[in-house]
Amino acid sequence: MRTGTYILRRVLYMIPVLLVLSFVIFMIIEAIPGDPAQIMLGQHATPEALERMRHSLGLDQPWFTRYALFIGRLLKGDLGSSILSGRTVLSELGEKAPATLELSIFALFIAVTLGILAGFISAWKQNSLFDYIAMFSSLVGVSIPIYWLGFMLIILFSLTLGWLPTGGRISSLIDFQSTTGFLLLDSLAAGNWTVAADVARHLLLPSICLATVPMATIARMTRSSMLETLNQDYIRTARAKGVKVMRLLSVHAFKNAAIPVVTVVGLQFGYLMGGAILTEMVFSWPGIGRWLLDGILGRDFPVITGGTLFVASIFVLVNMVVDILYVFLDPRIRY
Amino acid sequence: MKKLQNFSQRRGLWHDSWRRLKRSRNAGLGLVIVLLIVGIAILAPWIAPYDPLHGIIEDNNLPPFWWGSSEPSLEEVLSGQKAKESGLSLSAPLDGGVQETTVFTFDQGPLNEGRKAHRRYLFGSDDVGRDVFSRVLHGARYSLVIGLISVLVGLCIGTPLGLAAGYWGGRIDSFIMRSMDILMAIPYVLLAILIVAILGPGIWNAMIAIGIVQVPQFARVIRGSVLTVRELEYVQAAKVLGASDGHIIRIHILRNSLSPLIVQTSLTFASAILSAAALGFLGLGAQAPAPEWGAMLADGRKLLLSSPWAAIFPGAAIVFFVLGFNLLGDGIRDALDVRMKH
Repeated sequence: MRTGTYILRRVLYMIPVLLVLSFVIFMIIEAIPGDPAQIMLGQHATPEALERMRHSLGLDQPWFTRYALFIGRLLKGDLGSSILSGRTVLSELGEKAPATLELSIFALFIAVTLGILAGFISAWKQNSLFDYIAMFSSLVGVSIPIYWLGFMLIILFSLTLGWLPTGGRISSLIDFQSTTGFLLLDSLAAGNWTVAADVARHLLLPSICLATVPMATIARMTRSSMLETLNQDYIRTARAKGVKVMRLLSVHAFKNAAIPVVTVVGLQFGYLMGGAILTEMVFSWPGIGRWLLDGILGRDFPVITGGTLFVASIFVLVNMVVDILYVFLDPRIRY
Repeated sequence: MKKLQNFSQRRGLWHDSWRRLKRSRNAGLGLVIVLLIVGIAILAPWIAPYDPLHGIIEDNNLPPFWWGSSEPSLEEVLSGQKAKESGLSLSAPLDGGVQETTVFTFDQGPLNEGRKAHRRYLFGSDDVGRDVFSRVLHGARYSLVIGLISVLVGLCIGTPLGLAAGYWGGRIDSFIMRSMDILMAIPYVLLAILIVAILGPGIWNAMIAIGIVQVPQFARVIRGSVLTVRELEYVQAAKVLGASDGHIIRIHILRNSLSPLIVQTSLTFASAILSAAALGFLGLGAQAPAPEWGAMLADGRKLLLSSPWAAIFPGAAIVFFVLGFNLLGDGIRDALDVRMKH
C-alpha cells in the first residue's frame, strides 16, 4: 500500500477511536455520584427549582439521549460551562492547556535528550561504571513518587540554596501579557529576556520533576534496543570494513534501534499528562492537571468531561503521530 | 514441595531460573529489600518505638536527634534573607501551594532553640508530636496490603480477559483488546482518580481503583503469551485428542504463561504501591490519621519549611520499597528470560 493511503487510513481511524473514547469517558463520568442541578443550586434549593434545572440541563432524559446530545454539542465545539466558575469549559481549557503543554513539552525534551544520551553511552560502554550507575539511577528513577521528588527539589534548590522559586509560572511582580499562553515562547518572541529568564527559572524544577520517570524509561529502552542492534551481523561487517565508531553508532546502529525508543516516547506522553496532575499540585502550576483535579473533587461534571476528553485525545493523537513516524523511520514497514 | 524437588533433580526450567536468579546481584538486593519491608510490616507493632497515631504535642516539629547544626539553617531561611534574594516569597501564586506554608511557619515562631524533647526521635516528629519513624514502620503494612490486594484485583480480572482474547481470537480478541487500548488512553493516575470519584474516597476503594487500572497490562501480557503457546504442536495435539478448552487453558496455556505473569506481577506491585501513595497524597486513598506513606506526604507538605523530615522519610520509604520490587522484577525477568512487550 502507498504511504499516503496508509497515513490517510491511520488518520481516519482516529474517528471511531475518539468516538468510543468519548463514550467510555461519558459512561465513567455518568457513574460518578452527584447531581449537577443540586451542585448548581446549592443545598437549599426547592424541589421545583431542582426539577426545572434538571429539565433545562437535559438530566431528565435517558442516558443515550444525553450521550447523543453530548456528541452533537461536542461536534459544534461546545463542552458546556463549568458549574463552579460559570465560564465555558472551552475557554478555561484554552487558558490552562498552554501551561500544561509548555511543562510537558519541556519535560519531554529533557527526558528525550538526556534519556537517549544516557542509554546510548550505556550501550556503547556496556558493563562500564557509567553503565552501572546510569542503569541503577534509572531504576531508582522509575521508583520515585514524583511529588516527593518535587518536595526534595524544593527543599534543596528553593528553601536551602534559594536558587529557584518554589512554584508558579512567573513572578507575580512581573507584568507580562501573553498572547498564546505559552509564556516562554511569547517572552522570547517579544525579545524580553528578563521575563524569559524568570519563566525559565520557574519551569526548571517542575519539568525536571515530571521528566524523571520518562527519562529513566527512555534510557533503559534505548540501551536495550541499542544492545540488540549492536549484536547484529551487519554491525560487525561495518566495523570490519573500518567505519568510524561514532558513525557506526549513530547512523548504522541508532537508526535501527530508534523504533522501540519512539514507541516508548509516544507512550510516555500519556504518562506526562497523568504526572502533570501531581507535579502541578506540588509546584502550584496553573494547568490542566490541577484544574481537572479540582473539578473532580468539586463534582464539576462539565470540567471533568472536557478535561478528561482533552487529555485522552492528546494521547490518541500523539500515538497516531508515532504510528505515522514508523513509516518514515523504517522503510521496511508497509501496511 | 515434593514437586519442586522433582524439578530440581531434573534441572528443569525452574531450577535453571533459580540458579540464574541467585547469581543476579540486582535480584538478590531486591529480594532482601522486599523481605526486609515485609518483615517490618509484620512486626511493626512490636518494633515501632512509639504509638504511630498519638504524639506528645509539646514535642511537635522536632528534628531527628542526629540532625546536626551543620544542616541547612532554618532560621536563615525563615528570616527571609535568601527568600528575598531568590524572589521566593513573591513567586508562587496566592491560591494554594507552598505559599501557605510560609505563612504557617512564620506564625509558629522560632523553632527548636532551647526546647527540650520528651523522647528521642530517629526520624523527627511531626506537627502534632507524633514519631515519624514509628509511622513510617506502620506505613509498610498499608503499602504491602494495598499492593497485594490491588495486584490481586488486576490479576483476577486481567488474566481471564487476556486468556479469552488470546485463546479464542477473532472478534472476542478485538473487542477485549480494543477496550483495553481505550482504557490505556486515559493516564492511569487520572483513571484511578475517576474510579475513586465513582466509588468514594477511602483505602479499600483506592485498592479496587488501582487494581482496575492494572487490568489492561495483565490482559496484554497474558494474551501475548497465549498467542505463542496456542500454536505449539502439543497444544494442537491435545486439541485433536479431544481435550476440553478448560483443560487446555488450565494445564497447557496457563502454566506456560507463568513466567511473564510472575514478572508482570512483581513490576505491577511496584507501580501499585506508587499509585496508592499518589492517591493517599491527593487525599483520595487512606485517610488522615492513618500512617500511610502517601497520606503522610500530604501532611508533610505543609511542613516543608518547619520540619522537612516529616516529608523526607515517608517518601524515602516508598522509593526503597518500590525499588525493591523493581529490582526483583527485573532480576526475575532476566532469569526467566522473558521478553516483555510494552
